[in-house]
Amino acid sequence: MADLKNPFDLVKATDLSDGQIAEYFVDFPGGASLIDRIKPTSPMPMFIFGGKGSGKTHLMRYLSYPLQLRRQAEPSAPIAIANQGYLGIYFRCGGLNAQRFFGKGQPQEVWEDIFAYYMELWFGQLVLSTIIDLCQNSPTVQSVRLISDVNRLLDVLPPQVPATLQEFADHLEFLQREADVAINNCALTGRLDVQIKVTRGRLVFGLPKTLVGHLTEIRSILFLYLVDEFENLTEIQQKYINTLVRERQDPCSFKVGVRLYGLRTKQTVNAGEENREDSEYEALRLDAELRERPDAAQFNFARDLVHRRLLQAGYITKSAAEEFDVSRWFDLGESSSVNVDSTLPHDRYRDGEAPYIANLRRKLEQGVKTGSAPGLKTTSDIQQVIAAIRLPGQLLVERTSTFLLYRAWARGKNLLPAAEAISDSAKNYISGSKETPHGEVLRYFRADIVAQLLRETKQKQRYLGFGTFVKMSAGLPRGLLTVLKHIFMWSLFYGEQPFQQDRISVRAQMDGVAQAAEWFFTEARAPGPIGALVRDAMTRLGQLLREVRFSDKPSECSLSSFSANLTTASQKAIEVLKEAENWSMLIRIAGGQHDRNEGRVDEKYQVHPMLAPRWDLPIARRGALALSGEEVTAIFAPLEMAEFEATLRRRVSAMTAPYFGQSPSANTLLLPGLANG
Amino acid sequence: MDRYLLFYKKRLSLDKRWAGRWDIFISAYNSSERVPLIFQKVRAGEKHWLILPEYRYLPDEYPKVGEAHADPASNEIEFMSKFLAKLGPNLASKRIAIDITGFIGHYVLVLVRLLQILGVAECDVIYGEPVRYLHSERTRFSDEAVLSVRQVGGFEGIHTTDTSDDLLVLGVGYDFRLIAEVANEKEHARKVQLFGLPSLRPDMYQENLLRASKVSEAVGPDASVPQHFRYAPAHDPFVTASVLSKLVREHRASYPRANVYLSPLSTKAQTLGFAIFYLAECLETATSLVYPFCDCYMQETSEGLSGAWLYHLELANLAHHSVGGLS
Amino acid sequence: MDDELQAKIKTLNELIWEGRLPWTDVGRWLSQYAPSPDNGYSEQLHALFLLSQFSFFNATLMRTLLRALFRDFVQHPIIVRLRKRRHHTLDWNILEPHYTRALNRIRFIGVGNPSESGTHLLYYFRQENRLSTNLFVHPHELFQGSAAAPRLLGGIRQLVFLDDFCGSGTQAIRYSKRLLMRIREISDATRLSYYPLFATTSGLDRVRSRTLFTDVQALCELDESFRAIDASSRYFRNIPPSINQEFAAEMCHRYGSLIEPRAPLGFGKCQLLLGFSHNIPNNTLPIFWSTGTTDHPWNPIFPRYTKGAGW
Repeated sequence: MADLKNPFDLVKATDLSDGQIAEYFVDFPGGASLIDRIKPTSPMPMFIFGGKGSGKTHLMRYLSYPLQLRRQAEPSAPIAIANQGYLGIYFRCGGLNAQRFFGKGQPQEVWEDIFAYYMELWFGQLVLSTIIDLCQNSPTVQSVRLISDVNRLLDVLPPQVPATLQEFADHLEFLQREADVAINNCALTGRLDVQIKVTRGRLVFGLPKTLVGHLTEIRSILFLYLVDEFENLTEIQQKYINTLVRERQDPCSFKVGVRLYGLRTKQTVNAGEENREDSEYEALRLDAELRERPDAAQFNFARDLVHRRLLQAGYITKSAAEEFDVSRWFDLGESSSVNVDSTLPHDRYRDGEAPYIANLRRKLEQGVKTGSAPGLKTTSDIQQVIAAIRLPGQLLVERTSTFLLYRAWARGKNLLPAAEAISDSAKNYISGSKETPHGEVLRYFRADIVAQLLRETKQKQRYLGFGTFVKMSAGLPRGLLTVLKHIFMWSLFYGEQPFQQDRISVRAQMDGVAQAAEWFFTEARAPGPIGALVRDAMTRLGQLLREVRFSDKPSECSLSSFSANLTTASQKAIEVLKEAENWSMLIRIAGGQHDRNEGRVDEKYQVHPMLAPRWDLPIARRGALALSGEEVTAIFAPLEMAEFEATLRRRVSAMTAPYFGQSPSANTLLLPGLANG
Repeated sequence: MDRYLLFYKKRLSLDKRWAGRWDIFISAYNSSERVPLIFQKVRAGEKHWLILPEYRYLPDEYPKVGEAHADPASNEIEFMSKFLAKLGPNLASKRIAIDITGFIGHYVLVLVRLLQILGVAECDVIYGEPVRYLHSERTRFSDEAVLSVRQVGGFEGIHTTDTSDDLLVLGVGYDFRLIAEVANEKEHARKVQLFGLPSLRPDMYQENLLRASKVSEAVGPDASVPQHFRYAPAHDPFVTASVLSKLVREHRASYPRANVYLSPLSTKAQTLGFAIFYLAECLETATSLVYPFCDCYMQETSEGLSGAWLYHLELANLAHHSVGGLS
Repeated sequence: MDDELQAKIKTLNELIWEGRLPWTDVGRWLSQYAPSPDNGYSEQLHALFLLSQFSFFNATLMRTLLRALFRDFVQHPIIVRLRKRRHHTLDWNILEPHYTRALNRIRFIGVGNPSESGTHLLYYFRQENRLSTNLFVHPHELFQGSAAAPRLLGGIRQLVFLDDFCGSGTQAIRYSKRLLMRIREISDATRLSYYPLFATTSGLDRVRSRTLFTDVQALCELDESFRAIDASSRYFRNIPPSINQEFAAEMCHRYGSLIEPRAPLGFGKCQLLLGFSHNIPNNTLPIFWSTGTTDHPWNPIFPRYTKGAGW
């Protein structure tokens, strides 16, 4: 059991070797290709925004030189890469440990100069190590003229003048090391002894220019700097890179990879200057882009991902991805069948009466007592209603009947005739009639009613099947891989043989999903105090949506989203909400929500489906709870807990029998029989 | 024979008087019982309390016995430098003892480094073990709002441009969220987890392991592979240094250009071990110490004093590196 | 609570039990307890809770501990002595010959007879610490000379008795009684050390007071709080509402009396939650290791025998 290798173990691109980056790379077919979208041969710089796990690093590494090498037919003639039109020079900003260029008793301007110098040395070394490998079989790389021109890029040459590109690269490494030691010691001594030996831009742009000038094989190649983890730079350092982007010179360009929350500034080092999207750079919002692709395309992409992994791990032999039926490996239980009854534990019911019937009875009694049950006065009235609603052996229909009754009740209708109408509808629905109230409700609320049934019978909500997992990942491939990884481990733990024999059990899927949701919630967090605020806010939001979903008469179906008039929300609440979006806990839905009454367009957000299991929310997105600005504040940044609790109570009580938000006294004024309906 | 294993260390008896006498004794004030208990037992000419800003003690909470130092400073190096300057010249000629029990990790690192630079050839370090940690599994040693993960000043090292084979060594303690912060910060690196075994109590190893597993996603695939675990006693800095030495050497043998990150997040004794290893072998190499710097730490995390250790730190015999210039 | 415990068991299975206890096996063990009632405490839940608290030391961990024991109890004291006598030198070239000589004056013996785990331990102790076979002896090899003029094996200054686990101390006491007396009759000076890897505090105290061992120390000491269902048990300090200590205690007593009537709470009444890859000490609660009696057979979750996988 312990020997079965988990094909989804490596979930982060950073854990993959170059070989694995190549093996596990999956793209959309044809015109929808992500690589094409990134346009590696275009000189226009691009910022690639992606949430954690969006595939940004995987894509960028895929474009890098070592991977380009792997992709070509003749790895022994690297120079053939020139045919690809670009040379991918990849590095991570995290490797700079950029926070050390700060403080230590030195003025900020000094650090700016040092950082710029350091970046020259860094870029220079990267370019050279790539070129030296690329041109190893090319005689021109030894040319004296080339070396001489390259040496001229430095302001100060060493006593031993480099005679080859390798020696020049070694010298840059020496200079960088010198700088490292000085920067480190500055913390201890208060002195910063760094002599700047290169003018800005001379190596970043000058070196590639010089190289293409001499090396004819690469004369039309684009030096593509793939700058990943941009969020690891401070604002001032980002300004510097922004400046390079703006002042880009041929033959160079940039693709900058940055987390959603990570772009601190668009300004450059020159006062008042700012890079603008679609002017100085293009933007690619990777997870949003993935999410907006057609469902079938997303499904296939995910299927291909899984196919590749299973192939590499030896679970399947060579086969076409399109022929791989990934869904069949996951047991859906009975939840996909029309009649969900067989999955519900009838033996849990006291006196054969379902919990929701008992609840209904209780609420009707309460309503009668306070005059809040239109048309009902006596116990026998209640009995009559119940009898009309009950339909033993048909749990789903019975529950839908209950739903319809609550709806009628909320609308103030006389409950006796309402119950009779519902009874008729139920019979018609069962006999196959097309247009019935039951059919209509189930068209929109089926998933919610099933969810309510599960909850009322004390079962867990079900998140099953590959399609569900794809939807859960919502633009974050790592999410899908994480879900599958955990499911695989649980499956093994339950003594199953996933992807070998039988389908993966329902419980393995549910446990895996729960664990992945937990991971997403704890990991996708902002550092510092705001992280805690975001999580608390999301918990409140989740709670509200859940309470609404499971109320007697939910206002929206498949509720996982809300729309909000942010103009009246507090500054703090908006800040927390934006952070939640930046950390992928909320997805902003393009187009917003059109408010019918007032004609304005509100912002609309969905709880990231990966988090849905935490609050028993649906994966699908249909209805959205409209929130006022004050309510947004109460959820995202309440000054005290009571604020949120009041909002919660008010919202949920409007959907709860017997009062549906009205105070009992208001209802006693209504004479039975005179209520509408 | 590994040099680290030759250094002197011994258990101090709680019942008897402690034999040593020192000129200067340094401790960091903390409400954990073991700290003031040790302060009392140590015999020294001068006794100093460091009031570390992250504990947020108010002046009327400062200890009454011994000299308290709470000078404001912008970072850990400045704080420690100011303090050491106050101890006067010729520190190298004094017999110094330090109780690291109440310290916050990065202060241990910086203090040891500065003492070495000041020419102190040797000193004694004391570490007290508690009877139990507060709230056992729920013990949190720091306010969990991590401000930033960065390299510790003076331990930044040199850097190589090739980051594809970088290594992060995590000294794993109870605070698993800090582990996640550091692991996420160095997402690209391979991870090795160093656990305290033998641990203070026999069941602590397993508890630590379970807690660390909660952040296994952050640590990556190596988190679940016990072959990637390393072990050093929770109370022994020298064996810790020895284990680190071996594992870093092994990694460098395969990947000579790797950047190595070390993050001591377990006991103070192990943190001291990280410092010893760094000073002995890592100066001016592509090795650095990274730490999750927090705004605020809990003032009290344990009960009682179950035992104490004394380590003789032979700073002059660790390595021969000067601060300035390249080696 | 159920889910949390199950997830914990899964993690333990992946990280410590080497994947050998999938849920199906756990389920089989749990099915021996009463199923969860509608109200009141659940036996199965309590059994699961106790399992989640079980401390297991697998082969890798045991090897690490064996290395620690040698390093801290044997090697380091020698080094300290040698350095102090030689101006605190750190030069191993100077120290090495003296170290080797000092080490050669020590002999290691396993407590118990050769088939028991105490001696089994010796092999891995030797291997892990790269020690020569010469340093390991059987008790009878210690004595030389004639019955009239017996001598101890020449030049031996210290005898180290190794054990994996000292629970009540009975075994160490019984085993060493005659042997140590014999040694003492011949030599007053030989240091007699008893170093178990794991030991209870009370067990150590008994060994100290009832034997002729000069020094007794354990690498990992288990105080009273390790007695699982005692009042001072560490395992019940922070428990959720569904777990109750008295209930757990009663349950362990009841099942224990059926399956191990002589020692319902483990031998020496130690009530431990401790096991090693090569064996589970019988001082551990029997519900974990016992196979029961003919009248009441039991399916243990950690069978008590040497696992083939070894160390």
